[in-house]
Amino acid sequence: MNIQIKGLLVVVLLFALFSCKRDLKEGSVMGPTNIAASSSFAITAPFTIPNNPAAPTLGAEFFATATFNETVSWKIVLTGLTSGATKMLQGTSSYLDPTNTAWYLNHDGLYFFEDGENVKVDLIITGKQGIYTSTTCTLFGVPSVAATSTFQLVNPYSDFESGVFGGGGAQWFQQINVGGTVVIKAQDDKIAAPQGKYYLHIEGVSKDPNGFFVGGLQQRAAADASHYFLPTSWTDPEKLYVNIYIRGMDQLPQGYKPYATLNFECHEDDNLNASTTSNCTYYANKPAGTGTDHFCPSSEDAWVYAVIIRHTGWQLFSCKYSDMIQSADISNGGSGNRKLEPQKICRVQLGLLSSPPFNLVEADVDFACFTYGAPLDPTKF
Amino acid sequence: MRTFAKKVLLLVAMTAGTMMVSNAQVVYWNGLGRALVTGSYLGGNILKSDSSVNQKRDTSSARKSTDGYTIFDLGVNAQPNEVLRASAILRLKNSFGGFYGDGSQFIFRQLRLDGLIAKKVKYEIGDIDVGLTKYTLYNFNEIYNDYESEILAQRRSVVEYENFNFGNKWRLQGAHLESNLRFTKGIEKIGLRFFATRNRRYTPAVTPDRYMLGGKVEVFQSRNFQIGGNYVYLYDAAGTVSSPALTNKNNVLTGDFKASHFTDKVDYSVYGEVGNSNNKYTNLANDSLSRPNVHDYFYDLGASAKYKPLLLKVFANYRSVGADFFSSGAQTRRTLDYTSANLFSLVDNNTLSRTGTAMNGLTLMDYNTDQNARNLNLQNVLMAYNPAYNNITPYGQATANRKGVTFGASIGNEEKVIKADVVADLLSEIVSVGDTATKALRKFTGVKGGFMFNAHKLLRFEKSLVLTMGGRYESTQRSGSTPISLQSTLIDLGLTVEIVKQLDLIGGLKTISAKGNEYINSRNQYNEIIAINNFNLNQSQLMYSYGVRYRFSKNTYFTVNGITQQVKFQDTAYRNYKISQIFFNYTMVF
Repeated sequence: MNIQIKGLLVVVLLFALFSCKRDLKEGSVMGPTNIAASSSFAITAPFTIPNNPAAPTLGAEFFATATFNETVSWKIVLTGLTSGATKMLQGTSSYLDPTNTAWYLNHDGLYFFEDGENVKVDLIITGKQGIYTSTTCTLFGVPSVAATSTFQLVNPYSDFESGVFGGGGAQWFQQINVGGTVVIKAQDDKIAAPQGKYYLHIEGVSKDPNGFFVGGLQQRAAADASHYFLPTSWTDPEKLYVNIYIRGMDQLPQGYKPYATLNFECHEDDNLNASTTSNCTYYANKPAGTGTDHFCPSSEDAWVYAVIIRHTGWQLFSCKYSDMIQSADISNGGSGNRKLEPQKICRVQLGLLSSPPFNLVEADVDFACFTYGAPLDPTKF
Repeated sequence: MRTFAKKVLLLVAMTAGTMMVSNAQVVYWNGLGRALVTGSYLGGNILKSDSSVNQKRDTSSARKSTDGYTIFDLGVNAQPNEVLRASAILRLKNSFGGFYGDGSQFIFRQLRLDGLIAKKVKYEIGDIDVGLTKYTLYNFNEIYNDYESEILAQRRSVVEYENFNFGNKWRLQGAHLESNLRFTKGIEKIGLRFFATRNRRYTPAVTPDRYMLGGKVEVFQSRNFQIGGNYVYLYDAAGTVSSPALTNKNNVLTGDFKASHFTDKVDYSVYGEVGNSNNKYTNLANDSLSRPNVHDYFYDLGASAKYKPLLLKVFANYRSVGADFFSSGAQTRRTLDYTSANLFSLVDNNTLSRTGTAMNGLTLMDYNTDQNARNLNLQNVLMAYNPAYNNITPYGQATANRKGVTFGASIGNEEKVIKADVVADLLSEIVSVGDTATKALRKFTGVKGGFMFNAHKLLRFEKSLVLTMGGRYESTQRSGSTPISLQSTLIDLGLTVEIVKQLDLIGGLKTISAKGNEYINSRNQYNEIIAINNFNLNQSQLMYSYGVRYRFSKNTYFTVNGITQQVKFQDTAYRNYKISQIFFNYTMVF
């Protein structure tokens, strides 16, 4: 290669080098402001929680106060001593007050704060080793989860906090007739519920002839075709999400196999009428006296979100309604109009399956809910 | 005659046992067998009560542990002709304590097809190891261990084997093509490489598959001049799971070159690599949360001279790696520095993670012995790290926000009486992190190096006598509104003495001490710094190991080692602890 070609290559390299531009040039700063305390740092007005021990409503009533003798970067780390929930507030200032420490009882990690629990509140000052000072408070009046324009539980009992399967027309029907145990459990030292104090536990070996369905819960909407599960405005399957926490077993008891699948199913009333033994083949073939509802399994859609449980610990799973798949069983949800019609959801079912069949499987679930516009963002609660 | 016949018969049987040839198809086996048993004991202040800090006596955490396994990795290779080979490694594993098949595993450790297309293109499909340059795709070492003692290096090799840490390549699934086009004049050859892989282990329903495409085009004009282009494109395939919330696309394009001039005694070279990255996070559920494309560039230019009679080499580099330069393939760490350890994972009555942030993460012994503390997946955000072990280049040579000079020298090699090298880093940040008031920059000073002394070659002993010593010193300083001062020192010592033929006494020591303060960044899923956290270090660790090893052959040995790890916290002595372990290892490679 002659000198001209070598020179040309060097020019190309240099051109490539100097044609690049940086957004963050020398002299820039990245990351949040961080100012360390000097050796003379002191708290001139004590670190306190004025509303201690109360955070009465979901508002900005919870805040900390303190005054420092200089501007520093600080962090306040709140840790629920029962739930294990955490929340970090941070800023840079010479004081703490409602303008910079308001806390809306939301959380950062997996676990939600619980009503009535004690919370450790640590103040960390940049440049000072460890926790600078600490206090505690008790959370009173943490509100129950309420429906909003973009969120609702599957039914008022789908966070399992009442400890019962429902009532007043919002009853979860336990599907325990095929081999499973379906119980609501209170959290203990070994398993903490991600939200609240209770969660649902399903386990067993399927007694279905095909060996798949182990057990679960089902809720049927009230007989009101104008308003089933969801607000009538939630019509876009691209915006609707189903969300659920599922706990995979990290240390399965001997004999249990990690072949569990949790199905979150939404059943639609495609024709907007009640199913009867005369208009629905499925019910016509059932023994006399079988309860019917709006959903006809043999001619209407069942949309399924199947979570294959291969993880350990609690994890949030979300699925867009348009990504759910139609039931593969043509006699049970696989023969509908194949249209995604969220406003026609008249039945919701949580079911644990064993695949391959006849395995002893188990799963814990909590906080089954719908969101509209985005998947569940648990840090907002 | 009967003896001769027996010998022939035995030879035939052995040959049949190791190789089958039929219809031009060759099947042969290779593999590894290993039996490994450890007995461990935890002691120290952390188990005792200390009323001054309200520490209760630890009555429930584990303090003795016995563990181990026997594995047999059988490599089955079928080669029907010169251009095709299929290979699989079948693993039989029996964990220590498993009897009569209970706890036994039979798995495929590796599946691979390789061969030649038209005698021109070499291909590999299946489980493959790929790597490019230090800025594109490179599995950098987790800690400085260039002169680690043989006894500790041998222990580390078990962890590396289990995690496919073969050199600085990443173990991925996919296909790899490689070819050379040779020319008769002008240029010697053009090397072409292309790979397409899947990186992330599939977690159903949540994480999308992460694919990586890449390759290299390299022009060898002659041994005097080479120039190449490298490209890596890593992306999350949204359609592989239902409703992924976030996907990432990371492009890295670089060019590298090397120009050399050779004389009888001295070789001169100039070399370098320049390139840029583009990184984009898309929130599929809520596009308003998607982040704009972030791009940045780097350059790394150097020169070296090698005096051949003494194998003496000196070099100097200057590099500038932009603060937003992001290369998933080159910046992903191979260790999970604060993961739960396999050994004595909880202390303080099962309430405190022994390797969590409060205890300053994994210890030297965990890095060397815990095969579960390794990361096998390329990550799309920068991972947390412990500044005690490497604060200058925690994300390898491609660490972003660094500029400055690296220079060094080396002499000899492992076949000579001595091999030694020294490398110095004088680096600083390009932009300040968090210090909006004074915009101060961290300044890094690092020196590392060591030597291997083959004393038996100097003394003309038949038996081996090898001494190794290595060290690494780092200093990080920053003034301004958030001052930083951190020093850490790592020292390696090793000795191998062959006392009778193939029987070695081996010993090694590794120590690290770190003192000062640093600020560690917490990053969100978009790789943005969301919090800057105090990190105070005043800790020293000492790990030493000793034992005997009998070498049946070059790759087959049995060793019995004792290993002790001491961890001391200067400010919180009530958390000091010590782990003692005895370790039996029989390894056979065939």
